[in-house]
Amino acid sequence: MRLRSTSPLAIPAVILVLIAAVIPLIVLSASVISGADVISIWSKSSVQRALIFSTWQALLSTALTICLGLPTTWFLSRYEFFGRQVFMALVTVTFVLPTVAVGAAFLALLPKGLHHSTMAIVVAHAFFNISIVVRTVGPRWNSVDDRLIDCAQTLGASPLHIWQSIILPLGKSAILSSAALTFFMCFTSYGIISILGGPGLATLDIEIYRRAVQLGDLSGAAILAVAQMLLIVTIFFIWSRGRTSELISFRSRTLNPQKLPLGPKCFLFGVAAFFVAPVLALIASSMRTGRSWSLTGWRVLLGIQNQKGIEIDTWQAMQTSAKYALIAAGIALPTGIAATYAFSHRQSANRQLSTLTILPLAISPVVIGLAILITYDFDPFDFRSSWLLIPIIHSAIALPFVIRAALPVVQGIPNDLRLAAATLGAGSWRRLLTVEIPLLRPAISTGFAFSLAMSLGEFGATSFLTRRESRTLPIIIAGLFGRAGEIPRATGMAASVVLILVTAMIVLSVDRKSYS
Amino acid sequence: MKTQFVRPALRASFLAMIFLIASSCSGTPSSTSNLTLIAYDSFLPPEGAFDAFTEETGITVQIALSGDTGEMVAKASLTSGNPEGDVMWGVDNTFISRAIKSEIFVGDPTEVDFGYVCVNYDIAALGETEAPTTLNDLTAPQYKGMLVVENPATSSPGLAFLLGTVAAFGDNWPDYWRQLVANDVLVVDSWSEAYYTAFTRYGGDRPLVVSYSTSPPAEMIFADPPFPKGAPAVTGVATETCFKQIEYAGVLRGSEFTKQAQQLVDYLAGPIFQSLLPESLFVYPANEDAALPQSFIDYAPTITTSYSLPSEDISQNRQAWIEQWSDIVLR
Repeated sequence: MRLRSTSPLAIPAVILVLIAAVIPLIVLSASVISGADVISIWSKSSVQRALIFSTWQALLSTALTICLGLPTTWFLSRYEFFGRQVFMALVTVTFVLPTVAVGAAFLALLPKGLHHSTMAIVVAHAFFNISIVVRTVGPRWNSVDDRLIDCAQTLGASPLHIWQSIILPLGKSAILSSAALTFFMCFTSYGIISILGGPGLATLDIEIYRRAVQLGDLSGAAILAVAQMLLIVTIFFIWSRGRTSELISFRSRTLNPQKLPLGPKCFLFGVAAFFVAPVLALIASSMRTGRSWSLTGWRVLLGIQNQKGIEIDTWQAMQTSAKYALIAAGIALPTGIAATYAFSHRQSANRQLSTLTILPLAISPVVIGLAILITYDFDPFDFRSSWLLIPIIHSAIALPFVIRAALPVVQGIPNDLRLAAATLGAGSWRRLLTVEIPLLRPAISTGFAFSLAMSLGEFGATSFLTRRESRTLPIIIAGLFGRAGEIPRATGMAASVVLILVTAMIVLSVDRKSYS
Repeated sequence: MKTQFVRPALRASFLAMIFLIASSCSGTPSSTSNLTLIAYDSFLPPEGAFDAFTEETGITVQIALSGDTGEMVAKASLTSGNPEGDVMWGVDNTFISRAIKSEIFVGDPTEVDFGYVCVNYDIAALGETEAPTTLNDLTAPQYKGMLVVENPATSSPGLAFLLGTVAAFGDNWPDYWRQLVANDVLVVDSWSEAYYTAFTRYGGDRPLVVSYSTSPPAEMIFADPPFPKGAPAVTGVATETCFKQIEYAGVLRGSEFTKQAQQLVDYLAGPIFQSLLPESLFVYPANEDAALPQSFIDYAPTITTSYSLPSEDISQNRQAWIEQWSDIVLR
């Protein structure tokens, strides 16, 4: 029995990546790179330092993220307990926290000796990226058949043995996926490093920004951007080649109603504290001006109090943010899930194409912004003044996450089900609606939550292309933190809290339908 | 047997793509009655700042924010001749020669405002210690471990402060920075971080911070609860540590509406718009006819001596200076 080729399903995703990343980068490179720099740039000490630092902090951060993330994911995906939904939302919300606010909170929480150290960076990266592990591995583990574990226990396997021989192997491809994503996120990390790391420590992305913007060395910046892209694509290609997709024991998703044992409870409590502390610190500082507790920041933000010199329209910003996020998710979700079908079949030759969709993560937002400017600047494709550019870029950034989150789920859907439905006479639309979509629900909600969160928190590309009357929340927050005084600071903190709440609410409402 | 679930999904994705392409041609292009003003992201004049201009000429103004000044100039250089807007606001003297070399403007840009980057101090945190005045004061033992500066490679006030020391000490500026390092200067990446996490007024442990000469009036305006009239300032300025930043506006080369754009530049430099600048952007108006608000008269110190460098020099040496600085300070 041969499967119909699913390759065409990857086309929209490939087009999106080509339009939003590859073509602009090629156009930019062709117009600014000067040949002599291609070699000479690597002898600059700042470039060498950035390369080495990017790599080893990313390895360390990935290791910590996986270590904390796997047990968290297991408990979240297997047990029902009080506050589970909130916990899930909390984990995702960290993804969009504005770095200025989180940086301040982390600095307040960490002991002085750890300020401006690699340790602080690694901890913060774990904080930001655990959600990748939870969201990618969770759906996979959620569909592991309880009976497998029961059998193993009956046969006398120790918990460690069960982990080694059942749980880890069944999650292997998802774990590797999430590790790869985490590694790339940390490798190209920008905000966290510049706030917590201090000036001595710079990643390649920071070096690219510095060259393009401060030094006006566009040639050098473009070379580094291309090199970073090639490096990440190569690593990813090798990574995904060595991987085989394992068959998964499939069963309908139910959560274990058993009470969580004490050990895991303490562990989860610790992780929750790790997530809640910076948010609480943020809320506290939004209600604190220099000398006292005060709600002025909130009143200015909500328009109850007019403050000369601070021109913000919070309601408009929330609408703009929500609009961009919904459009971005609306593009990334169908495109990404469709592509996942193409990539999930081992026999399909275009599995290599899946490497391509990781690209938007590998190019610095500044370079994408500059490249798009000179690529789409002629009629009728002069998109530069179009606001749609922003959600399109957001969707390209979200695409790799949607695909990575959906891949394990799509692989877990047994083909027999589709064939059975077809035999019973279900047409293609009916099968899509009654078989595929219900089974894809965890992937859809994960992908949706990821794309919304990516878009809501995105700063780099957005700040490049904003109109005054359509500022998003992160842009407003950065503006408020850019001026001196107690009121702008408190208002900025309050706006950060709003961003977190809006995101949490969206994620929570989407999540309710997963795993149930 | 074939699985045909593929087709509907495929159709749905293509529909999404078509919708996307069809609807992306929105956006308001410039016309004789609508101009686009490109500015850095902290350009936030009050609501209605362009009403007088619209009334007089019938032209509405749309503001496109373009990242920080460096990002804005990088974008403008790349799109020189085919710009995203008609007028650009806010290229400062550390970037102006790059802008001119890339021929982004038609004719010479107009000076629209200026300000000073200076060391600020937290009066309460200094306590009995006398406040510093000059650059040399900062290397004195009583200020050990007190100063936080921004990284010139990533921050524009950081770069301005470095340029000030280059102007003050000439070829000996590296020695000055070695002394600052010996005096335990803290370097952070951005102004927000220096001011809101390292500065004592916001919970940090550094009472001296590189900021602007107009930060003290901002502190008074944005105090919560508000200070009574005539209250003493909470922060002060070391008045002989200042580097002068000048900002320019000009008509972008390639704009189809040069005549109208020039009218807009004239309005930006005119008394109505200029008088709005102090309390919204916290800079001084270039136009001497524009009155200063009371907060500036009361709390912004008069800077009589400030440092500056020809923008040609800045453009030529910026990279070398920053790299040399990094080798001295970040090691």
